[in-house]
Amino acid sequence: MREPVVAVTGLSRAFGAMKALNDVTLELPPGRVFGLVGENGAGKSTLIKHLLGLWRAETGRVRVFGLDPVSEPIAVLGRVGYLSEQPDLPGWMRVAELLRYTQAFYPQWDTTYAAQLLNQFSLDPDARVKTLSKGQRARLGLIAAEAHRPDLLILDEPSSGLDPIVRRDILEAIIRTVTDEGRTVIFSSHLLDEVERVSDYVAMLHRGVLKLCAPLDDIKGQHRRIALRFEVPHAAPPDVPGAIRVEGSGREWTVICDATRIYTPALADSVGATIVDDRPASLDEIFVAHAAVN
Amino acid sequence: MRSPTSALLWEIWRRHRSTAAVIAAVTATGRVLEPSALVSMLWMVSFLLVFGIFTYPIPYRLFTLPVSTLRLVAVPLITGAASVELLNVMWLGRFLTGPTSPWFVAGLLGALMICYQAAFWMLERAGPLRFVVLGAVAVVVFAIGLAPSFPPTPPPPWRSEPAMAAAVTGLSALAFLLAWRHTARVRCGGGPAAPRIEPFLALAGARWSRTQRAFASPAAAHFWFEWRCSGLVLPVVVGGVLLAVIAPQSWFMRDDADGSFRLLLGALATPIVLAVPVGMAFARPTFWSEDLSLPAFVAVRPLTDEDIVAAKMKTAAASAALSWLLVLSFLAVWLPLWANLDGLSQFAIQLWSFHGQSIAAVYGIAAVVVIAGVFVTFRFLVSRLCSGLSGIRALFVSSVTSAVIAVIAWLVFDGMRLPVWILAEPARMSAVVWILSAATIAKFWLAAWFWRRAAPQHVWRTLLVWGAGTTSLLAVALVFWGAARIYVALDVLRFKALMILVALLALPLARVGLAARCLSRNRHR
Amino acid sequence: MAALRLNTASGTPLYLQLVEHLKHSIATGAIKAGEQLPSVRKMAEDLLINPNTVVRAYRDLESEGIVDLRHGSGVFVGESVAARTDLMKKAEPIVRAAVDRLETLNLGEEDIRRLMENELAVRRTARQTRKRRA
Repeated sequence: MREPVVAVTGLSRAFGAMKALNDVTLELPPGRVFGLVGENGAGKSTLIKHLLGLWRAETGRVRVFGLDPVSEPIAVLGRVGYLSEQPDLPGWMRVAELLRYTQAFYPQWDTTYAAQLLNQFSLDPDARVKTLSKGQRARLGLIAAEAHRPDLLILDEPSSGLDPIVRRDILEAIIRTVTDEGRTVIFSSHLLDEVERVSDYVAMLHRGVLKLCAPLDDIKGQHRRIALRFEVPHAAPPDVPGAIRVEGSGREWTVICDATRIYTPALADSVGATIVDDRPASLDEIFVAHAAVN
Repeated sequence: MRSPTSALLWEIWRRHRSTAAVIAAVTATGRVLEPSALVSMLWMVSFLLVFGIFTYPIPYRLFTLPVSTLRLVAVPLITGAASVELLNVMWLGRFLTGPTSPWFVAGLLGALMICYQAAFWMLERAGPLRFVVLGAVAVVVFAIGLAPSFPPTPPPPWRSEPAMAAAVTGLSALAFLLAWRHTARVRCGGGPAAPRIEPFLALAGARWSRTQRAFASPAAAHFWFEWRCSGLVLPVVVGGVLLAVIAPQSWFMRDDADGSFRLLLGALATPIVLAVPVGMAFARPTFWSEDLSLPAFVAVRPLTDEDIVAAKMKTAAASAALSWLLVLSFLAVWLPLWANLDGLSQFAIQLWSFHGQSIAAVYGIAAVVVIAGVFVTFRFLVSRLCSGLSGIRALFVSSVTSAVIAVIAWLVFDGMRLPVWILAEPARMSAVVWILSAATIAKFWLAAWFWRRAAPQHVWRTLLVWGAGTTSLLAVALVFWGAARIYVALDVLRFKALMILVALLALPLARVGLAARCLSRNRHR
Repeated sequence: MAALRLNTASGTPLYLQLVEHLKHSIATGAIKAGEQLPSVRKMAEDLLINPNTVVRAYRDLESEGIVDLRHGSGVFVGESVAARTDLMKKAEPIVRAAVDRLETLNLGEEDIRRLMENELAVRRTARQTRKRRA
């Protein structure tokens, strides 16, 4: 059993009265893509900042590569690549200067790889960061995070507000990272479609509580989306056994439910409905279902 | 708003209301008080602030407004000239700037402002080279201003004041036209590519950065980063003051021995005095931002907190050294060429006779004074690091405010009276000596306590720097003591102790060790 | 290979969509027999999916005998696939005709299967006897 890359135990964090993280515990094995989803303010960025040592663990424990990121910044951060939503790169720096600066901190920096990525992303080495567009800045941040082939690549909502081509570049970087043995990716995003494509594990945070944390296949296997047609129109969502969320109106209702219950036509009949459609739920639907439940 | 012009004017006013209020307050204070060093400083500050208000690049965000480019260019430039003229009028009569007529001075100031703004707008892409060009512009305008008073006087017609005034007006008109043309072209997205100066400068800058090799270590890379962020601020400001204030004054005072000597002391004090305000900005994690939190860009680097603090301290040291280099270069040009050395020679002769007729002693003292000056400048740059890096806004603001209040109080209430008052009575002096001894012991004890968990090489490096600085300060203190005791009737031994203690207390030691812990608190909240 | 658009919103898991697509490409001849399929890494990067999904798809195809996973070399479409596909297509009508005729004799599924297996076993034994004699 390989040592987990990230081990968070009982982590809580409050900002004033609001609990940003509430007793979060998770362990990530190496060599996997870990998708972190949740609505705005759910605590994703707070969790990620704890992993980087930007927040100190008030209660609970955070260990990255078995070390505490607050007390051992060099050992931990030297193996981590980080790209955030708005990379706060200094505007006055030129692209080449930024890469030269970043290179000094990471012994495993691969200059040829960095040059290849620069070429691929068509970034002018002499351009100043403040003249770059948002997408180009994201690409530059990606090179700086990736070129030293980090053991842990952390992406905090990197795709928000970016065009599909840049999002594609980011997904490619994730896949490149994880196909190298033993390298891990933590990827937090609103775009559940992307998370579903590339993740091995998915964790869902809702108001600081970890609602789900399991392999993606398990999560998808545990939820089904069933469309029911009732004989009698209902004004309020009808009570369907095993349902996590019921949506719809009148006679047509869609149920996201626990897949361990097999919805036979007889069972549907017992609540006065016929099954119109029965298929695995998408991650989007699962997320919305869990987020709506308090 | 009734017209676009008034709207543009209102926008400038609105953005710089607080600065304008500060300028008004400073000018009012300067007019009320008696002429003195404080008033000269206030005069300088008010003009610096006015130039600061109009230091902004082309207002791109105004390009989409339905106003002609002429209006966009004319409003800031003419408002700038008008503001500086207004300030000049408010200070009128306070400073005799030699035999030049006030109209000529007014004309010069207006021209300088227009040329300054025009140059700032046109050289946007040149980056730091902008300041070099701006300096050159300032020198040209001052040369024109000083031309009428060059020997032999009275000047020939081509060098007379009216002629020079015409030249300066022509120069400012040219600057205005160039700025107008440039802004118009930028507004429509460029124009036919003609060989112009700024792409060349930008390219020169780019080629320079591309030929650099990789950094030797993470610490070197971060030092480069800190230096590029904030290292040149103090040297530029010192250079600006030397060029804009001290140099012209030195020309006008070339017949006044006493004045020249005091100006020399002023030139030596310039880096130290300017380090106080620059140090307040320097203490922040990011020099240019009001936000006291450490940006994620730096916080995520594999650097320890001590490394980050060490990079800041190295930048401060290099900044201080470069500023003093500028001062020394200025002195190297001024003293041999047009300075009135009577006062200085007298002083040098006195020193020479004190220290056994030795020339080496005189030069040695000069060198030690410069070294001590560098350390004191460095001290003022890093003294607020603890409160600034901690990220606690209240702490930082109170620290800065207390320093500002102390400086103002010292200047207003003529702080020189305090040492005189202390030294008058032996009882008072011994009480002060006791207090300072206790303070010194507390300083070392605190330093040991704050430094107990630091890495050895940081401790050794800091002790080395502190030791060198304190040694030079001790040397200066002893020289001063040796000179002062001849002139003033004092309790000689206690005075010596006092001087030694002051030298020991001058440079921060404990605070430096604490800075890393404060930063740690800020970086890992 | 024709462009594949994976749809996460459809009910089919991504790996199955990939399997179907590859099977279709092989059946239509877009991918020839013996041709090498893109490596796991390249496939994952091109389609922007997790490499494990690609691995699962390839393993599925291997278990169905359509591709060979050769360690160190890559993934190759089985040599016999195309030939088999054509042959299988040719054989289908023959089998259909035979089963039709057997059904007209009122034989059930179990009986038809027993007859087939019997026949194959007889031929197998005959082959083996011939080999021993030679």
